[in-house]
Amino acid sequence: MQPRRRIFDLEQRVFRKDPFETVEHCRTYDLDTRTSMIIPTQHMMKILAPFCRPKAKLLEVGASSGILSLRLASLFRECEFFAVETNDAFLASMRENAIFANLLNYGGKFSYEWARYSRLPVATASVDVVFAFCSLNRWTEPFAAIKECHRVCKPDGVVVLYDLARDADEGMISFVLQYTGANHEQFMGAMRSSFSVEELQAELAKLSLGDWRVTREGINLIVSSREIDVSFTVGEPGIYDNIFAPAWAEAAAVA
Amino acid sequence: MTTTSNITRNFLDTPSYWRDYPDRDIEFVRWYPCDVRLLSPEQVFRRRFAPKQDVSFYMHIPFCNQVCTSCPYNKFNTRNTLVERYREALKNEIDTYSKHAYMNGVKVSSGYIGGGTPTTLRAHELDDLLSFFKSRFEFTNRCSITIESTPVDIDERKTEVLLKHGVDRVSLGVQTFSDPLLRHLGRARAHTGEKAAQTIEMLHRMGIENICLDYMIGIPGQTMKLWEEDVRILMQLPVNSFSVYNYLVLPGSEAFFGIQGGLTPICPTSQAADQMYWYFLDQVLSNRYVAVTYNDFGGPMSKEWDDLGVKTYPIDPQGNTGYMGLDTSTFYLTDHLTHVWYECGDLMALGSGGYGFLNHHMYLNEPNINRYVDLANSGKLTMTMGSYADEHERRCRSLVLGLKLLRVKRADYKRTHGVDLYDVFPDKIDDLIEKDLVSLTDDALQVKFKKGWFYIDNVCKTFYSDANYRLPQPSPASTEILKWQVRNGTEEFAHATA
Repeated sequence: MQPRRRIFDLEQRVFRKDPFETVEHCRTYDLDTRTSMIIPTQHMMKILAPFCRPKAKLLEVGASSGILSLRLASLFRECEFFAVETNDAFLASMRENAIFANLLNYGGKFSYEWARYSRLPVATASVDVVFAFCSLNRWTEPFAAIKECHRVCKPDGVVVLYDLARDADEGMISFVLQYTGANHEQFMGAMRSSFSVEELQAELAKLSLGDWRVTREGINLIVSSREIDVSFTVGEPGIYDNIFAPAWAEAAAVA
Repeated sequence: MTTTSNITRNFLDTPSYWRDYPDRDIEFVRWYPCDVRLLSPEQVFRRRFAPKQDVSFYMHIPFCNQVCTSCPYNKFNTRNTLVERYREALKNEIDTYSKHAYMNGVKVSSGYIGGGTPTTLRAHELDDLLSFFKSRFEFTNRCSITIESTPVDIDERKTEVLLKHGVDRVSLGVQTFSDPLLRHLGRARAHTGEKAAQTIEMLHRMGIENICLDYMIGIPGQTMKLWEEDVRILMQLPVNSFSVYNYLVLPGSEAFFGIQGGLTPICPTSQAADQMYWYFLDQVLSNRYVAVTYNDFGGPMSKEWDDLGVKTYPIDPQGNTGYMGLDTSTFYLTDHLTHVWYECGDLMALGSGGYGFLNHHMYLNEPNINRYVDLANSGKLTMTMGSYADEHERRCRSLVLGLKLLRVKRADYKRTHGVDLYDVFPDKIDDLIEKDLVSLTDDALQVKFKKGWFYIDNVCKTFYSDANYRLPQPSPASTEILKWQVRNGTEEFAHATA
């Protein structure tokens, strides 16, 4: 009987610089977040929903096309969403999405700005929720940025960083890879550039953030500044629902 | 409020490719082994591993006149130049196989022509392709060949051609007789419930003795009332087999955006879909139809089948339902399932993206249609990736796939593998018995009705080897995996990563 062979070359982290060089590439990624990445997108929305209380201020770091913040802003209209991004091509894509959302009177509060993640343009202890979705793997100074996330977050707030886990189950990686189609380069590039649970735990300890949680869920890795529910099970409000139905927001808030 | 109880479960919900009991796995197990790597024809045939035997075939025709909104298979809209090139490539592939030493003296014992919609080929194209095939291979006397079609892509001329070449079974993608539901599926406008009934009548009148009908559960907008009507219609038609599949919505598909944007009704919940399935089972099995797998059925049992020596067995021996299953090895229409699924018999894959099993290797043909055409036209076999099944993996395969047929006879298993199945897997079988998912008698290992049927994919996956544990089923898209594996291929089969 043969034991499992290692399938992918993911033992060492291989950082790659931000691969999104054109607006067209960013638009493609934007579409991915609504299709092939819809499950992690829904997962992140479920994680953040309990913190989207009235008057809450939320900061998305490395917001790519801004689609996650815009979706949340449309569902939680009494919250204030602010997104930062270093990539000009992504900012152009984010602007397009924001214009389109406003054309449709989406009703949310959303703004965005260029910023370095290691020097966030936000006052210390002023944000209720600092979050990042699948962008940590392309941050050039990830631990300086995490330190900044910690600085701007209120003492009773929460930081949630959601990314790929390089040490995810290889079967799960195989499964997802089958459905990435022409985007397999992007997916595996991000996977190779992502962290393992152990690596992040070690780095957080160096930042005196050893009490932060690092959890692996499916192929994803979730860092949170305090204990939160990050589970996502079969039968959650699904990817096949009508996204314009208000029932989704009600369910997410209750969950 | 939306709750977990009224949400549709679907194939791609996370983590969907592997769930351990008591969670129900819903990945459709159809291939084994799953640990696929680059594989070349030279590797497959470097020496003879398997005994000489008859071969089944699967031929993939990846064309549809109308691509359904959620179809996950390898297919293209019909384009004449591509169809023509593809047909020539198929003939070249057939020719290459027929000259291969491994196929010397081998007879074709059964076949399945799937897609896509193979009957999108015109009558003279089907005639040419099948004539060529028959000129290159010898077919056994009772070789049964099935072809897939839709109700709108087959006519009397094509049927004549099929009958002429011994295609004796047509599997018709009816899906439902409800016209509104057909529209939600994105079926061609001409495909209506009435048209489906007319096509079935035409096939029957023309002399197609075996008509199989595909139904779907979980279609957007489907209700129990509509489903009851479909089941009622089914049992009035001259069909002697039928299959029922779960509707699948892939992220990014047209169906996905339709549902997400509120343009298409949502799918029934998983609970509602399960209710439809159990209702269907009770209706067909109590009317003397017999189970082939948990989703394929035949019948009703007749004197004609009795006279052919078709055997059945009770699927619920401890209960009082009287429901019966088909002993697939006793029927010429189903013995290829026994051959391929639990005897690890040879299956020749023809066409882009087709799966086969030859000389103890599970393999996939080049899924990129243009690369496939180039390879086949250069006189090469088009195997791209796959896996060698050693003795242990074959013993696993016979249960992983064999139990899809709901029962594996111990004598058959011993004849194939030289050992009793319980001696190979005592702990796994005891565990499944403990969970009330299978029963073991002196005669057979059998999936228990109804609980084992509900957990059929969990049951099958129990017999995955350590090397395959928690790996997803391969798919044509798996060729992307090859590019990222630790060990890439050599120049010998560089076409896979070109």
